[in-house]
Amino acid sequence: MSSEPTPKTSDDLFCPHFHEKNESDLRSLFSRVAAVRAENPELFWFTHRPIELFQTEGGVDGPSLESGDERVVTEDDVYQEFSASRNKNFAVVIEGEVGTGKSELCVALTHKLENEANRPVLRVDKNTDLMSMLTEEIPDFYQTHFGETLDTSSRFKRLEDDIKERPRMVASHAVSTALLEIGWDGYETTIEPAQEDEILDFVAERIRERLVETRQYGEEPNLVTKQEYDQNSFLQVFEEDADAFEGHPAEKLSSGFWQALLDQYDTPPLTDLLEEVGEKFNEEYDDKRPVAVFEDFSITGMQARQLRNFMERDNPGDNWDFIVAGTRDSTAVLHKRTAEDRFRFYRTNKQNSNQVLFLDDGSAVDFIRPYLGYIKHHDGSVRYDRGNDTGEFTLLDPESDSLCATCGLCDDSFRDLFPFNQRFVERIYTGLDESEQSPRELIIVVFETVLEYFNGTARCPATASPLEHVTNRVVAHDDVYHEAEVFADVAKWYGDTDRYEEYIAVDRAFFEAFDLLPEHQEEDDLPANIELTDDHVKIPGVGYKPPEDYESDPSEETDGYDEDESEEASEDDGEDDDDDGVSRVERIINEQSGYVDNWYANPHDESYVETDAYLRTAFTDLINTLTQDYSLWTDCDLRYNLSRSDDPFVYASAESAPNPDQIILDPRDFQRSDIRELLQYGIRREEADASADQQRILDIVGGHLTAYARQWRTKVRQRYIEDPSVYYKYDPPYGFDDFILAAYAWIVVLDDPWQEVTATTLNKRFASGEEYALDATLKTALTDELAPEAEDHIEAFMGYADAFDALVAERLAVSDSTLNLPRLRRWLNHHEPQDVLSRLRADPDQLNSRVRFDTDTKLVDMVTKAFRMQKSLDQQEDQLHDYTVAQTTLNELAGTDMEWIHDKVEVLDNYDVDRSLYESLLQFDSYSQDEVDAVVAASQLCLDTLGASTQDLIHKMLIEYKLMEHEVTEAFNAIDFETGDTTSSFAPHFQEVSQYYVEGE
Amino acid sequence: MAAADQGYILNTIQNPRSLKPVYESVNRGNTIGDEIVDDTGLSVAAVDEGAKGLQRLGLLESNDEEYAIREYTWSTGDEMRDFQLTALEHLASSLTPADWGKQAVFHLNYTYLLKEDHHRINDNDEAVRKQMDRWQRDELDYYPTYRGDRIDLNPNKMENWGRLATYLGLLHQYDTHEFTVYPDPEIIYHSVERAHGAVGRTVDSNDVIEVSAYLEWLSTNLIYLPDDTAGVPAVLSRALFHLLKEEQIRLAEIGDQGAITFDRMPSHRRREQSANSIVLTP
Repeated sequence: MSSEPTPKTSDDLFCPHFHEKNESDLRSLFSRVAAVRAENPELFWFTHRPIELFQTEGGVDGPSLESGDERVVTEDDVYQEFSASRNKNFAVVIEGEVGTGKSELCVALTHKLENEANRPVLRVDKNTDLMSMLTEEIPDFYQTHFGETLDTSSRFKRLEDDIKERPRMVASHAVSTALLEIGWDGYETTIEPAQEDEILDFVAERIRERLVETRQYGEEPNLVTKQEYDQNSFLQVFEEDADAFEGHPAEKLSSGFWQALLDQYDTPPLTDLLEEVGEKFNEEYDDKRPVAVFEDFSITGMQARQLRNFMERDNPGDNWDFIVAGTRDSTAVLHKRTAEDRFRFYRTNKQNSNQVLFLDDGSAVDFIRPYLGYIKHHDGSVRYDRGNDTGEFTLLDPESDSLCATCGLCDDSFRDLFPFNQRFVERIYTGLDESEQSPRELIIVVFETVLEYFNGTARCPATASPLEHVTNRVVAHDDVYHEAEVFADVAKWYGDTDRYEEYIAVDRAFFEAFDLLPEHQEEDDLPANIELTDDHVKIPGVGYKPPEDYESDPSEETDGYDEDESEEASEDDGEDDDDDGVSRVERIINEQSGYVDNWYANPHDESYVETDAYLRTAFTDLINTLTQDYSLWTDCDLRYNLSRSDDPFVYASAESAPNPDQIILDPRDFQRSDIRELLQYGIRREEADASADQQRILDIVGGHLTAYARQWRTKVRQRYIEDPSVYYKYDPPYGFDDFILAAYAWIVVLDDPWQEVTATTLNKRFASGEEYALDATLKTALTDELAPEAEDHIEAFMGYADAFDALVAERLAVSDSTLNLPRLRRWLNHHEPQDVLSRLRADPDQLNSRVRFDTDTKLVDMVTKAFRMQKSLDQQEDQLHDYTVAQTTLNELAGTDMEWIHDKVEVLDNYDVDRSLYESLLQFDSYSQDEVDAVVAASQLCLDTLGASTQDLIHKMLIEYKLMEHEVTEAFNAIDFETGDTTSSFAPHFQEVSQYYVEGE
Repeated sequence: MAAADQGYILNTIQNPRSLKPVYESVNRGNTIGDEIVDDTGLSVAAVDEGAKGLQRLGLLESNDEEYAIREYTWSTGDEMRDFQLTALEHLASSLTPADWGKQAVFHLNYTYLLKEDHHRINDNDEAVRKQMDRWQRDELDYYPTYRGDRIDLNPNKMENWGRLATYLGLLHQYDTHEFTVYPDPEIIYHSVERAHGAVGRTVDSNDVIEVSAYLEWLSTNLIYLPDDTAGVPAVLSRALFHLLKEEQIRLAEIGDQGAITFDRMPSHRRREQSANSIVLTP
């Protein structure tokens, strides 16, 4: 039940030679360090390919080379330089980029010098530090050749022990000695006592930490780094400016401490030790020149300069030969004018490249051949005729009783290369980035591919992950990717593409060896029109046209989902067809399709940036469509205005975290056939909009992308809608919907303050569909009563009424004209709009202004305006202490029968009534019963219905304001009965007056 | 439940948004139409449509003009999802070949999309609508009738179906008439859980259900799958892949059953090469 890959058993590994191997064998065989292979000379020489390289400088005895000239030499030419009859020291410096054969050459030269020239060889590999050389390597070398102990070794041992056990004492002596020495060298130093203590502690810590614990002795035991020197003022002991030093002052200090340590224990430096050993060889053997091989030169700083000086010195008694290999950076110290004359310099790689002379498109297979062949050579299955050491291999027949002779699976063209074939190896090499076409990179990819196959991580080499980084544009037909992906992979790496437009042929042996052919599979049953012959499997190539495409009846009713549409579309853009009738878009598609597999594995790889751009276009366009242009809910106009320069996603492999408006998109959520379709869509969208068929692509990957679209919406909503802290201060128990409902409730009140805020009235107002506006009468009152700024805030808030309406529709509507009444009722029972809005943030800076309806209607502004509106009303609320207009109106007009009044006013016209009174009565009479009732109802709402909550007090204030300015109220107030009684109601007076006249009639 | 005299669901439900408010209103004790109208603010017509729709979905009963809800048969912690799952389950009771229930159209339309591997649908697409209807008529012998005549899938019914399928969590709407075929992965997850309870087992303390058993259960109880399905249809594979990624399930090879094909599902570390079972993550 584990989801881990199942390790392959012997049976799974078809080739019996692999049965005998384990992972360790393979690691040794393909070791990136030549020295590991060198531990097994048979393996080394079986796999070694003679190296060609450039001689870059002639040296004093070498060929004359003009500056900048290079001469190609062979491995043997270099070997011949090591003459036993030389006097003085001699050095061969092999430079080159990493993985270009320096170590390989070192090992080959060393083997020959040791075994053919009988030279004593001192190997110094990269991991050998200076202390190890001084205490172990050189003393051991001496012991081996002379049977004696080099007496300096015990002194080094004592030094190391003391550093371990009493670092502060060692440091104390080193510091004082070094500072004295530095002074004697002519440098002025100033040190306070406390400062000296700090230096002592520092050095004690450093020698323990950098010499003993890590044993980094080879790094010019860097006891004081430049950074440490610059950062610690107590180390800055010199009076001189920094430019008074050859290097950095820290180097002087560090070298001084180290030298003092060596002096303290009377230990000679490396060069003295080499000189002593060399003299011993002269004494004992006369012409036997020892060879010191620095396989990966990593000595730096002072020690490196001392070593260089020793190598180049003009001393006829010296007898060391040196082989120094390293990158140009590490060997830079050797490029001194005098040294350049003395040494031979070679370079393994071509100028400004990782490519080498002995590996190219034509030789890649032969280069890798012996590595793979070695696995099968022990029983004589694989034997080579190596010709004249030129690196060409001819595979000989297997010995008669060998495994290959009895197995018979492999064709001779790939028998030694199995589980690869020639094309596979060639495609690996040519598919490597030019900067990576080095021997090491090739070996690494081949080895890691074999290893994944060997340990079961990959079903077959063609599906191994190291190949994901290798560009290979051979592509099988989409149907193969869709229905039998592994066949597409095998075709891609093993396949013969001579008839690419029809099929890619692969030797059937590979499918059998990798168990890819279903048991009892009949030829006709293979998926995706894959054809099985006796020798080969024919896999449709990218240009293959399935038979059904020819057979389809054009008259048949189409469901709109076949590929015809896109093909027609592609023909539409044929105006720029080339001579082959292939349109520009089709050309781009053909070109880019070859990169899909590589992009799929490395969407960030700059090599596939164009492919990536098209795919980003496709993803972005489709997510945009599925989110309805980044709307936050389906059919809602509130959207996130994503920047045109941004994608709504980052890839899963991205190093940086996604922005709040980005999700993580993993290309591996799609099959490669889907990616190919998306690529085509992206190209058509980018290059020829009209031919991009969005419906078709969504019919293929609509589900995949819907998941992303929904994920995007969810993320943006979580960030900008569902997080209450975005909207509210002090963490109240409110959310986004509370904000929307509270704002909407106020909109309804401000639209008509005489409305009570109930679920029914809100629903009714919503259903009416009428435009919202600040009540005109109220507006007049507010102009009189409020500060201009407060009125502006209220007006501005009402400017967003339609947006709030839209959000209420989104969040609460159950139909186009009905809100969720039960929910509204519950909400109003437990919430006060005033309290909700007063807790909003005045400046919700966490709410991105990209969340908006349009450029003029941003959600952040809606919050701000709602807050300001509420604050304006809150500040005004305590300005009103009683509701006299409402009270008067209720007292005077309650129960007024306008029809009766009308009748009486008509009669009054016949009498000599005070004209002023009559005109005012006539004016009042012009209002309908409903209008008067509304005024009375508003007064009742104000005085009887609404309570004492802040919400209600503000509402009452607004009712009162509107009453004050309302025309009915004004008309009534204009009637003057001159009774002097202000408390009694209008009706009795009117009745009294009218009765007098009417009865008098 | 699909009595011959019962209305055809694609005629009854035009606006599914009123379904749940009506259901909740009845659940609050409003048992007659007028009460529901007062309670919900919906129009009489909308309440009537909602009530009838709920009856077609098996979520409401009517006795002597009084309504009573039928409880949700799912409890997922999300009331809307319970509503969706219960409705889908009730509708699945019409899936009784060859004597199909009248409301089988709801599931069979979706089945057609699964069968044809459509990941997108336009509810105005005449060609697809006609093919859908023909497949149901000619191949499945599905004959919903009204006064003796077969009810064909006309444009209005197709639009009504699109809205209802979206409401019940099977489609994603991205334009007025455009939808992607996207079953809510949470619906699928709960279906796996329910199926495990019914036909699953425990292996090494893991809740396991064979994929073939799950598909059969799903097809019978929740989402009808094409008969000729070899393996998991791509639309469903997609939903299962989502659950894999969310680490809600694993796909493993357990027991002797052969490997199941998960159509168009990419490889994933939580999916074994020869997977035949779904393992629910604890």
